[in-house]
Amino acid sequence: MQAKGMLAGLSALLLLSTCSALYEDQIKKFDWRGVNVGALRQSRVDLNHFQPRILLSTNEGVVASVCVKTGEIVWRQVLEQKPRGDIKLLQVSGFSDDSSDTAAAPIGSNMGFDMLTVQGHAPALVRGWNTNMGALEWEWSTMPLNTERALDGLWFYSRSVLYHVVPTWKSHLEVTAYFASSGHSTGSTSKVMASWITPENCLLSGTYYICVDGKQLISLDLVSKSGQAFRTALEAEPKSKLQPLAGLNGVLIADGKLISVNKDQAVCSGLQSSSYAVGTFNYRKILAYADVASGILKINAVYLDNCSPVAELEQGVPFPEHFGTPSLNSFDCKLKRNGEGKGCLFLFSTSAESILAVQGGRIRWSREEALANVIDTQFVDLPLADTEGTLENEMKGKAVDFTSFERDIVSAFLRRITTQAVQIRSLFLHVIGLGPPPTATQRAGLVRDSFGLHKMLVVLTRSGKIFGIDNISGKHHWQLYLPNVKGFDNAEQMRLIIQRSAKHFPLQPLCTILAQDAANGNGVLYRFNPITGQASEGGLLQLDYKVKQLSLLGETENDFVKGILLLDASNKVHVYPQHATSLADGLYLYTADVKTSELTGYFVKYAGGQLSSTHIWNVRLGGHNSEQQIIGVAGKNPIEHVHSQGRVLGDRSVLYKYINPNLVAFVTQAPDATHKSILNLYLVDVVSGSVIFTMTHRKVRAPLSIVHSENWLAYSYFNEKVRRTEITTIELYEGKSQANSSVWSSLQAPPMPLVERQSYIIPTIVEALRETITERGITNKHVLIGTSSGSIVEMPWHLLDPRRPIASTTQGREEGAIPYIPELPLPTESHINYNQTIARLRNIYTAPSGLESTCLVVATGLDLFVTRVAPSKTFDLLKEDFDYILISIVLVALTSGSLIVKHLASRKLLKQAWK
Amino acid sequence: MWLKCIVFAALLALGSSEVVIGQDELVDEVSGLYTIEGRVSPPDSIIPRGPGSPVNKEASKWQTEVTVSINDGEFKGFVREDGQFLISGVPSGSYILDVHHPDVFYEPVRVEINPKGKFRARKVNFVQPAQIMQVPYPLRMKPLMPFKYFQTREQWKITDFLFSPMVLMMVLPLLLMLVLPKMINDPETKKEIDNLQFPKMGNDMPEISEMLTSLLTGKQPEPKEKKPAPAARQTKKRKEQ
Repeated sequence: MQAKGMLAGLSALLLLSTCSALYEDQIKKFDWRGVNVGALRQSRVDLNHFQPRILLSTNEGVVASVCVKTGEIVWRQVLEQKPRGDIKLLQVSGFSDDSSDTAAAPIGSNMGFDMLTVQGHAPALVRGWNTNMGALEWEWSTMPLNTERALDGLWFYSRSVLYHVVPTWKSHLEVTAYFASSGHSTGSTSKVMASWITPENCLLSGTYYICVDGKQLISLDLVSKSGQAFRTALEAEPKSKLQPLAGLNGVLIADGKLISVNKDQAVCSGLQSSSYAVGTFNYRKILAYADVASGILKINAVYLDNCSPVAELEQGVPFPEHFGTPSLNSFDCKLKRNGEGKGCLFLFSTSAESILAVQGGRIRWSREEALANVIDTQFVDLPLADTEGTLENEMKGKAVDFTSFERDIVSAFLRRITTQAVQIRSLFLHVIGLGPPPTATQRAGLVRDSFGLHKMLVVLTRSGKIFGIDNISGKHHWQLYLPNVKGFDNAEQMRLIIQRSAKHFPLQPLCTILAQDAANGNGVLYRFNPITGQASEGGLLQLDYKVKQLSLLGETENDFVKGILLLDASNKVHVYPQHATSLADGLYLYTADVKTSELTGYFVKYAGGQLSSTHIWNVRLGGHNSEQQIIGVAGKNPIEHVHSQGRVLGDRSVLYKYINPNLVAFVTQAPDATHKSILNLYLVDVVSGSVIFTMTHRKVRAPLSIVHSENWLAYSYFNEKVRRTEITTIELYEGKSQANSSVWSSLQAPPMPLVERQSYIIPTIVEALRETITERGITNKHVLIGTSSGSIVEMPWHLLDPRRPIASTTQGREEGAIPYIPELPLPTESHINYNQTIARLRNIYTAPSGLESTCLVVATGLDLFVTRVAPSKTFDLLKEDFDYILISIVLVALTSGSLIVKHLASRKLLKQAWK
Repeated sequence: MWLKCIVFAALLALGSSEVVIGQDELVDEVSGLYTIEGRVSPPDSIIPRGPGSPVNKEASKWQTEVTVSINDGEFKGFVREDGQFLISGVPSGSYILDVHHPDVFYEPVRVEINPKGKFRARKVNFVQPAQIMQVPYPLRMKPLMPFKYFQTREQWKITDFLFSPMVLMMVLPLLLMLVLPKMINDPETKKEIDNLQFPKMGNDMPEISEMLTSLLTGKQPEPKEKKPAPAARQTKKRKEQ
């Protein structure tokens, strides 16, 4: 009996797990991956190597080698997460502040190194890399005795010795030297007394530790034996922060001017630029500098020895605005006597986190590294083709003016005929090549397809750069850069909102970004057309208050814009656009303070042309000693449809789902004396403020991922007691009868739900959870689980179902539930991104497509992965491998066969008649 | 006096601001940080080497494809050309070490470092954490199997068609019907069977050719012939119910 049940369960399991696998020929058919490295920190262009290359380190803790010609990644190593993976120094052998470098040793020998990185502070890891393959060669680490002080530690390299400088502010410097490739200390730590050092005013340039003190610089040569501090007078007190110049020992940039504190190193002090770099050209050391003036990036260079300009390198490159402000990171020239400057490659990093390579007077390639930090994405429908647009117009006439349509059937018929005539004419004109020129978006292939699978993916990144990406080809159709914006103070990110979808032809869709001004902390709104990337409705709007909460209103009647409701720091309510203000009447809002774990509910009233908010409820989740902090908030997707109201049980009765659209899950965590750490889950109705359900987990801690949809909730956490990641699922049911099937009201004291819960072991670390969503909600819901190895597993809800029976009962089996097995299977067939792993997977976003069966998916992290999933298989589409030829052959054979048989039969009849 | 000197020297060593890890065991104990060592076997031992396979192109640099990580990249190790890796600066505790390659599965290992610096490695068992199966340390990570991400597409083959249960169910009885009577040599039993099995077959079954002709010429078949067939079908249905 039990074996049978087990078998049934297993077979069901197999059935479920194989239901959503890819076929091998579907690779790259509707998915693509963008591989990023992050914003450039240090780089080294090497054109004279036997294999020209660019080696770089980034702010995201990535070391990579990039192809010089195309900008493609040759190899990439993603280091540890911060703070351990924070790269402090990248040193390529043969490239030092001193030209007499002895570190270049043959590859493979243990003594020298090809490239080394120093990362982290406690412990600091020093790694040597093979630059051709990206494999590690050696590694050593050092642990500072004082971890806090080591945070400010600096590293520099000079003559195959690596120096670690740990400042103790206002007191002294501790300098320790190591042999770079072995980690052996060259002697004891030396202390250099320096009472003037402060975190804001000091920097390291080559071997010199330089501090600004009013109108003079105090510098120390950390390598020299004397350790004597000496002072250099400045013309004026520097206004901005000092910057070291890489490649020249003891040279720094102050307000765009070069200053040398090294007596042996002369600089051309007459120059003024925003960024400099040092390199060689025609066997002479040169100094290149670059500036942007009126949309042109000008690159100039001077010879270091006599400060005469290098005419060959002077060039101007048209510079698109969306890259932000560039700064020259490094460059290299091909070694050729009397080279004409075409062989030089300049590598720029920009404020919009792009990497640009300029060569021969043009931008050779660019990498959009802002995409390594995606914070929000939205799928926007593409506009209709022109011909379909006219049809849509006609249909709209019908919808708006229904009565007149019915009355006047003849005119409707006439209009239909005329539009069709117009369509035929335009088709004809198009064929003979005389039609009207297609619009820009149509030329780019941005036309809605019949299944709504082709969409514009709008991506908002942390640096303030916005991309419009084709979700099928991965092409960047437009880019926008918003300088001077940032996320909000409480680690809350910028928001991307669709105010008007593309459904309302001929009105253009409208997207809005809500951010915070980097300068004064007030709110900023930026409105733009998500199809073209152009600003609309005036574009940037500076608000004169700080934004606390945001909510979307319903569509207005005349222009179909969803208004944005903003709650400011003084609890005043504002609506954009203004004419949608009246729609905010009777709206409920809530805020959650992450630090104090306090939830507050507001009611918005519209009276006499004025909006006002009333504080109506308060919930404190902080616990008795206010230690609890909110680590997760999960509401439901506002566009979600719940198709099935209940669940059929084994005895044919219906268990109705508790579908409360106002239910939000909050998770708090606090340290605990006996249980190490406690995790609390609260389900709160945010209209009434009533707590529907709470649950406590002991000896459990973050990382937490949470997903909330329909009547269920799933969240993953780390169980410290048994040291494994677990997923708890909760389902809420109203019971066998529904209180009110048509309207939900949180205020009329709805019945408390029945709660089903279950926990499962998941044999991986969960990074992100997201439910699939489809147009009408008919398709099964699957949960997409992003794992730490960078794969996304599509998990059917049947497997996470809290109603999976522990004992194999007949009731459970009739209900279609699989018997409970504690460990969730992660079959490789359900990895929707097969071997295209996403490094540092952070979030997964889903959106419905025009097809009910299909859900569009974007996974973001260091890499970007876009695909689509069909949780119940593509039931509304013919299979891709549908055999048209076979079916036509069969049809033809059958018809011809029947004709022949008819003929034969008539002949037989005739013969019989003659008998 | 000598002892004092030694203590003093030790103090001096401690006083220097940093400790380099990985040089000798003593220092490890001072800093409380340890180094996990091991070796990863290359994945090409189990991936079939065929021309044009996407895996093969990158087989030469599998070292960059493999990641060795603990706690979702909190600690990471990188693989050297010979497959050796080390994860340095790990405090004592219990960790799951994951070796991840996009195309090949490596079994994770739980590594436990006690506060005294003793290493123990064992198999990961999430369901029964108390069950211990030790594996050798330093770790040897071997590829277990290639990931199978894809379903194979169904292809229409004549053998599939012939060996499908439906066809077999139809063909086998037919064979029995045709072949068995001929195999019986005894004439009496033959007669019996003939009488038993198909008593009125010829009369009841409408002839297929006639049915076809009537259907195609549009002529209604004679009602006498048609009647028994639906009646038989109905009784059959009733029986099924």
